[in-house]
Amino acid sequence: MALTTLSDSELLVEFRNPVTKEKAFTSIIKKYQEKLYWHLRRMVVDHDDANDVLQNVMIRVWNGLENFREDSQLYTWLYRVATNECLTFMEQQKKRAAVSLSDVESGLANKIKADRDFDGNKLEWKLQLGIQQLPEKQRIVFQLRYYDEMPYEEMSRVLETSEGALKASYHHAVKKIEDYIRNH
Amino acid sequence: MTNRNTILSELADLGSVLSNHNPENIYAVPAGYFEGLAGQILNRIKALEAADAKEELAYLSPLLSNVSKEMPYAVPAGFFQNLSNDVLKKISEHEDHQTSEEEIETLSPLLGSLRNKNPYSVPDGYFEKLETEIVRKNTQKEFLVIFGEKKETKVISIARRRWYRLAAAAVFIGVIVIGGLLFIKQRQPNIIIDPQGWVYQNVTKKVSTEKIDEFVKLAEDETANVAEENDATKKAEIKELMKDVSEKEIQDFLNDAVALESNNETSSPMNE
Repeated sequence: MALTTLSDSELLVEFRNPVTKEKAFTSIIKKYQEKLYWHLRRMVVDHDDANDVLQNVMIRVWNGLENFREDSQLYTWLYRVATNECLTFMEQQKKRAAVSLSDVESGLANKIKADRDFDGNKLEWKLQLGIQQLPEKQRIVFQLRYYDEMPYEEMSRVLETSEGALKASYHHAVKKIEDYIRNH
Repeated sequence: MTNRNTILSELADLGSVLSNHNPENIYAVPAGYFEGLAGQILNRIKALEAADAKEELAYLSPLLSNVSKEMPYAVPAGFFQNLSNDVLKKISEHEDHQTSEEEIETLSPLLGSLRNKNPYSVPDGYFEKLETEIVRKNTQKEFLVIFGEKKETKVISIARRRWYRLAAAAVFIGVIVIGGLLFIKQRQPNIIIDPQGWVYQNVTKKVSTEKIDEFVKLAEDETANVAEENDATKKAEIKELMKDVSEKEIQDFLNDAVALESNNETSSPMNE
């Protein structure tokens, strides 16, 4: 049976077998690469940065999957690793540039505008700019819910925040982005 | 209005300027805020109770729910096809990820080349006969068990265990050595209890007979010299003491001493 058709539990079993470890790992990458990539790309905007972070995430997965206790879904764990790696990356960017986080956010907005396909009149580009106005964590909450339609219960495990706080954060984020779109 | 008039008259009675001041609201409220408030709150409640993210967004923001979710960002061609290979390559380049073959090649190419070269030989047909031999031996043992032969209990001989023998030998040697040391120590005189014995044991015995004779001769000579000196010294002292005593007084003293001695001899119990 091709590994690409296996469930997460089955893939984990294959991963723990030294003979099929690499094949199982490749299957896991192929299964979740786009979801994780876009989750990261929406945060860091730049493709090269997203690629760096994604590869670091996958290396962490290779090293840590052996000890994954399966007390949550595999994709929840992957998102958690990716989110933490992304936040670490952004923190390092901030330190390297010796600027405040708000400057990092406006820097990201400039990166969006610098994209060769950017069109300020199009709603999807305005949406991206609106998202970049949000504080870091609220941005993650919005993206996980809006794009990935992640249940609050899963999101709570990814971000280690209560469901109530996440709901409130998401509702505020929606309001802010809508206001941004209407006013720009 | 009644309350208001009461308050104003109160202020007037107090002589406050506020009695003439018309209160105004300085804070601004967005246009249409109150008209839309009830609907907004109701939508928020429905969003909280929504079954999924789509329904939730529809209540929270119809505008956003109608925006395309397609990402406007471009992705390099073939990125996702090559990603897994790129990641695996990066992992293999990491120093912790090495197969045992790669590890030995890195550490010692010489040993790596010898990995698969086995110098030991095996008798012809050994592996082919091995299984049959094991089965035969097992069958033999089971035969003995079935027909009531005493089942051999596994005997683990202490003598066979090499470390047991070594430990026993070490203990035996230790006992001999410690016993010997204690015995020797006992024969040694204690310097506090028997200083003369200690000196004899540790000093005198180590000195040769000739040396001792030489020492004794020296001591005798020295003693004789000291005795002569003492005599001479004593005579001088007596002379100094007796210089004021007359001859008659000395004679009387001597006579008294003789008389006393003879009295003592006659009154002795030995003579009774």
